[in-house]
Amino acid sequence: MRSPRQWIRALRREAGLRETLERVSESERRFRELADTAPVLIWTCDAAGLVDFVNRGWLEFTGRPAREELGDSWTVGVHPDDAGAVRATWWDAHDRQVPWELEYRLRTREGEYRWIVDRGVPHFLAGKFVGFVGTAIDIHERKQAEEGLARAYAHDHEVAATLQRTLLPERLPSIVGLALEGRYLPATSESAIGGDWYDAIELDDTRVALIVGDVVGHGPRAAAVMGQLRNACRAYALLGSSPAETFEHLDRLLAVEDRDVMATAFYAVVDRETGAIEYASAGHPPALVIGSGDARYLEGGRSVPLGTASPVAYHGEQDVLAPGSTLLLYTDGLVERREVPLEDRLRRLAAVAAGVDGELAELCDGLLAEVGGEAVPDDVALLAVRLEPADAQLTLRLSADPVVLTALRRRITRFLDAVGATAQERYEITLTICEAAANAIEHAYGPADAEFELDVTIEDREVRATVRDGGRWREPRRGDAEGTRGRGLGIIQGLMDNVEVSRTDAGTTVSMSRKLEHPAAA
Amino acid sequence: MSTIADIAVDQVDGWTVVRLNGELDMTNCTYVRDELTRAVPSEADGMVADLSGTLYLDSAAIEMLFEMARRLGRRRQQLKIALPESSPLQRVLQLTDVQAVAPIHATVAAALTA
Repeated sequence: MRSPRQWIRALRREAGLRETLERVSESERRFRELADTAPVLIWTCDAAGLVDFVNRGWLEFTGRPAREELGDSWTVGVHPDDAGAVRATWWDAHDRQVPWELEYRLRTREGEYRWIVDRGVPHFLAGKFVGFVGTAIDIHERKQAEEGLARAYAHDHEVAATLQRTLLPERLPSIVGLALEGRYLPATSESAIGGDWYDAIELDDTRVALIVGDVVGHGPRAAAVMGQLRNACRAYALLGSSPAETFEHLDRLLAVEDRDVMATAFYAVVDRETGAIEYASAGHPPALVIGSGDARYLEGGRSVPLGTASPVAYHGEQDVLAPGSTLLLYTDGLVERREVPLEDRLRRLAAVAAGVDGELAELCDGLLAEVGGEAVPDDVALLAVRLEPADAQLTLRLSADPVVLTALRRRITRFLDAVGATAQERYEITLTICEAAANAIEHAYGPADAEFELDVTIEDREVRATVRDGGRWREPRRGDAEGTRGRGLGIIQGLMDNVEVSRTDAGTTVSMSRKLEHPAAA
Repeated sequence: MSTIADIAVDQVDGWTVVRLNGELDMTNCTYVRDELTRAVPSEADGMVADLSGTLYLDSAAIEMLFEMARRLGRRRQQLKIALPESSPLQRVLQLTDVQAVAPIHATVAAALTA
């Protein structure tokens, strides 16, 4: 039984409900009116997910009669490639009664598919879910522009990456007494690739030019300028220009090109015999010298970047690289992070570098992993060179060509220097072995690709050298003793303690030994 | 790659003094020989080859010194060699008997006054 008060409340509720329903139908009428004149596609669906209304805009877009757009048949107009996503989004939003948004293609009355963005919001009446109201707008032009851009970016990225690959050295020169490693890490961001380069150029018997540079800007243009600079730099280096002179040439080149392009670079010439370094920096981060357990920067020789369009006098600076230590050139991608001051990054690089033991390749990989971190916002180029300690033993197979003698001489001198031979011993033993090698070259007649073998070892302060060739050693004839080869034999026999020559059909072997005079200083 | 040698020529008291700095070997001794031959005027008494800055000398370069002595001899000119006694090259020059055709002095001054 209801009390009178309850009756009154119930009647009021009833009246309220009726009022509400009247308001709804009134608002629905207004809604439909507005919807039909709005420049958007509008639809509603019921709690079961079946479309119960589409506006005129929608019908004009699809060109189909209203009955074909109601229920669930409207999805017929969705592009087959997008239909799956549309259905999944639709039903998922329905189950959870949450707003959704999706971009998909819808067929027009002309039969073409156009991109629309469709947004649905759940509709509640008196707290009860009654369906969705959706609006969609045509975004086809925007979408096409975006796709075009994406294609252009992808194309740019590909062009830049290809340029970069073709312009970086395929392999670094192999040089006696020097270990060289180069690394290039493209930026993870699609558009940031290009512009960084490294190069190593063998200038003469002892000196190697090392350069790392960074063209300001990204994409194919930066990569193309990088290629020009790299090639020009090679040419100037081989013409004998010093680091400062090379920079002056490159700066002028960029000025002549009149292209509003700037680049930074670090250029060092290393003498692998003495470890002497001559270097200059054109607005580039300082190179790092890594010794055993410590690291320091080459801070001198600093000037502005190349291509600043003002006359600049670049100047070089000198330093010395100790045997076993490493010179590291890099681009700022290795040390630059927006949120961390450069000084801190440089300190960190030095600390990490000083702590990495092992081969040069491990150092490069270690630095990229430690300092480069996970994301690479800018590309990174690395070039590391290490002055290798002398060989403990020489075992060589060389082509039978006099041009190999100069390099061989340096290598033997290095070996003897490392085992503590005096200047006199270094010269005499090197001369002796090279004379034997010259004989081997002279007698290794036959095929153009003839070779000879050479071993040099030290045991108990005694240097032993063996030179083997595939030819026959000519007996010094009377009268020939005055000639060059006769003198060569005289030198070999006069300067070594023991000399043995054994001839077989397979070739000639010369074995020599000489005891070093003074024990090496500990 | 051929070896690099620096040749500096000076005319002193009727003698042509040539300083041979760097390395002399089979790859550059023909060039050096021709340069030296050209450096000596016919009226000079001869040539002093200053080897104090020479770092390396192989049998081809030594043969070149013999050849120079012969060429100068034909023009009635003499070859003298200046080489410090402490030079690593001393023993090799003695061993090959270079002094038989070109007397070796410790300095250029000593060679000129000898």
